[in-house]
Amino acid sequence: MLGWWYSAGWQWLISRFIGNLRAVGEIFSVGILLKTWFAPWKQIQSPSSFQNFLRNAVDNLISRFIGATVRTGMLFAAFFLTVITIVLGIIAVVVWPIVPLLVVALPFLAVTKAGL
Amino acid sequence: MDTVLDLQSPRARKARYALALGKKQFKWLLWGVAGASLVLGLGMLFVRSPAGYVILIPAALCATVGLWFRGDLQKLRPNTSPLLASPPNRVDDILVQTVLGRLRGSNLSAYDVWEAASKTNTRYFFENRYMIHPTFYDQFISKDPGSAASVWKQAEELRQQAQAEEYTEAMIIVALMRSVPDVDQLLRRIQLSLADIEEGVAWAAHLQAKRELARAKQRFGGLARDWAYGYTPLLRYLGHNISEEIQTHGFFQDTTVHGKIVEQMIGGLSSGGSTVTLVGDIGVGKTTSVYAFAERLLEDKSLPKKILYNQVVAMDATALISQATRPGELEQMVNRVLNEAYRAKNIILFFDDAYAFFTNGTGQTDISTVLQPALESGGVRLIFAVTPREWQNLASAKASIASRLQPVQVQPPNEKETIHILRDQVIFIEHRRKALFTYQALREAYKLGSRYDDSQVMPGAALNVLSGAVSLAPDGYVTADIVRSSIEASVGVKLKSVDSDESQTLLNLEDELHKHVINQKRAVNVIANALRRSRSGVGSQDRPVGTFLFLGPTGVGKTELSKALALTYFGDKDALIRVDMNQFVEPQDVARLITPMIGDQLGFLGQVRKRPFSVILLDEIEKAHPNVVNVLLQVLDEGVMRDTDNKPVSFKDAIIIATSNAGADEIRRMIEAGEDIVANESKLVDIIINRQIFAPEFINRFDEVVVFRPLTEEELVQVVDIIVAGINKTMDVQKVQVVLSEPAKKWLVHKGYDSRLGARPMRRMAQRYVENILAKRLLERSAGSGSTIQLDVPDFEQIDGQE
Repeated sequence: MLGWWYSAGWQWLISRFIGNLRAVGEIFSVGILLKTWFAPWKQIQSPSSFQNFLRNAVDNLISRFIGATVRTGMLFAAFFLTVITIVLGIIAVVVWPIVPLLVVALPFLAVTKAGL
Repeated sequence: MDTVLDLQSPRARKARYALALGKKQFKWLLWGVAGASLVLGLGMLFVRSPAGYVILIPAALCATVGLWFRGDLQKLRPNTSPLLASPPNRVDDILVQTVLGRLRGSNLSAYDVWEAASKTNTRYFFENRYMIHPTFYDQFISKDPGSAASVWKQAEELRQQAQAEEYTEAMIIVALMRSVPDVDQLLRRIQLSLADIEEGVAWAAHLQAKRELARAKQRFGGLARDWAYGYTPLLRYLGHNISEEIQTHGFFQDTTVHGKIVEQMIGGLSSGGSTVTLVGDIGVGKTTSVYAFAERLLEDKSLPKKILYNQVVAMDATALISQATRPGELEQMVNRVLNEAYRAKNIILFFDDAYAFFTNGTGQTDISTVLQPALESGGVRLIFAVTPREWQNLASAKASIASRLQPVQVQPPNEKETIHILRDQVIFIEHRRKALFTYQALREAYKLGSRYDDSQVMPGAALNVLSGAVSLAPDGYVTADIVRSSIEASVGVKLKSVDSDESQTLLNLEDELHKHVINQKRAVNVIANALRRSRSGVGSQDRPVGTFLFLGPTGVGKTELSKALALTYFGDKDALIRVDMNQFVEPQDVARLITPMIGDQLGFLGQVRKRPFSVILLDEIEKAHPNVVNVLLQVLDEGVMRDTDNKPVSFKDAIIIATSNAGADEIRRMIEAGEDIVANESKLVDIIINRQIFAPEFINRFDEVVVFRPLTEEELVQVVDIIVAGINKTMDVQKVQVVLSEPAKKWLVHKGYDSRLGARPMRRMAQRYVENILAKRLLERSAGSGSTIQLDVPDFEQIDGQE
């Protein structure tokens, strides 16, 4: 068990960490969000015509603004979750080697704290 | 590969730990102890009690063991590196952990391996899907110490065939079977071969892969995938989003069969083109191909951006047409649908039964004028599905539109491919109908579906058969026998093995037929033999049960024998499909012969399609036009005739009897000359051929040509007996019986005898003398219920005197 824990176990832990990071990216479709950041929201735009040029431009601008706002909000959420995932991942990597040792260390701690 | 197995190796030990730790009870215990330890320990630390550290020890221990199990033990990788290039040295390196962990002891026997494998789920797979009962292993697997080596050897062969990394559970079970001497012979008893069982390795692996795929978290582009694309409220209302269905419920079809079609669709819709038309018969899998295509768009990130994550929306042409209530509404609706799809930018529209949009008729409206601009501009991506016949019509009637619809031919799969498709599809039927199909049932569904379901092609026909069979399986367990019963019930053919009653009927068929037909022993004999061959499975299954040409003068029993056969073996007299060939004397009558429906009435082929298990009587065949006879040649040869829609109609369960008066004069001459007709049968056939009544290729296609000889006066007395028996059967309701004295019978025969008409006048004689007297006496009340009327010659003479 300990052989695995301190060799292939690390790989497993890190692969799960990377998997979680990738999942956050995929769930929030970060790639698509970045590519379409300023695209009109749900294709809502007026058909272009010479007579209503100004009105159409304003309509399209509003649609793009709405799209950008929603996408920015989503990018923030994705960023926030990514940070949490990274922090938890780092904690896991740090704690990982300690967990088996706790079985031995905890009695010592108990004795020390009890002042025996 | 070495057949050495080290049960003390680290992998073998881990396999045992995995089995122990994987038990549900242990998992609950682990969680319980860890939880309690954590809560209690932290609680004590909170109140500054150092005992909390001690109480936390079980939590640390459980966490370590639990993580070890999940990360290492739960799925032990085989010890292979590189995997296939350099085979490993020991069995335990690549034996699946669920079997490895259960092996105990040394110098193992094959039976020890079975005991370990029998505790895995795959054992139930073979038990349920192939009907291999555990007693098979108990009886035949070697218990000799050391006999496991032969199992490992067989498993290695299977592993190499499957190019797999490890010996799977299925491989071990099949290897166990292969280690049994004469296993092929044993499997034949349950209608299986070793090759069928070996298929099970791939099937089990396939099911396992599907289970893993279903468990895996599928992500189809994420939350923001569709934000840059338009709303589609009308499509949501009128159409069915296939992509959404796949996202929600999964599809998981074996797309290898439809792989080529999907590739062509991707090529057609991503490289400049905007339209693909799937051309294939009903049931071939056009819709399944569209589902496979939609699934690929969601999963394959390497696809061109133009189509990646596009939504495939199915529009039901017939439903759309039925929604339109006033003229022009359908055109408007389709226009709005196309506009919405165009604006949304991520929609591919799929029109099933698309031909309904290109022609006018019942349930059809030609809106090609609306579709044409969309097809020409290429702004909307469209998939159409039509049958080959519809495609031909479209190409000839609307060439300009057809040139825009890039055709992709969808061909029916072969037997192996169909079985693969069925393996995938039955999972859905099983889930829906709470059923389970055996491998033998799938194979039987293919065989019988291709023979009896002409409404669609494979794999649809086989699926149809399987769906129909579920209702006949009381416990939902569908075997080959259930499939046969289902077809027997729906088509009316005999497929199941002969039971004792039927075997008695078959063995005594001659006696039964002779109750209706006097003499003509050879004819009765060849018919009975043909049926016995067919039902015992000896005869060819790809031809009609029997094809016979009955030659002889009128009134010798040719038609009567056909009727008797329909009644005695096929169950009722309606099982006789009689065609008067003198109604097919013109060349254009061929069309009438092959038309399944003539007005509201069933035509000849319609009747055969409705009742394939029947006696088909082609009466007076010599009068049919040669073109009509030519059409019949294929039936005699292959047991199939194609109707006006080019759909095959099977004659493979029918007995075909053609009758002819050709050569009647010659038969009479031979009789008068005292020649033996049976011995001179070939001479008679030569005369018929020389006189060009029938072509030799027509005569040669019959299983037997039987000459019926004219009946003698003595035999006609027996005919009178049969007729009187018929009258008595009719009178049975009134409990009145009629009895003729021997002189009276002879008188009737003598009175009605005409050497040219044989037994035909006898029925008229019986009607004139027997039935008329009977009717009078009943009306005069000189005979009543329970009476027996004795008739003699004077009674008949009295009638003559009155007239």
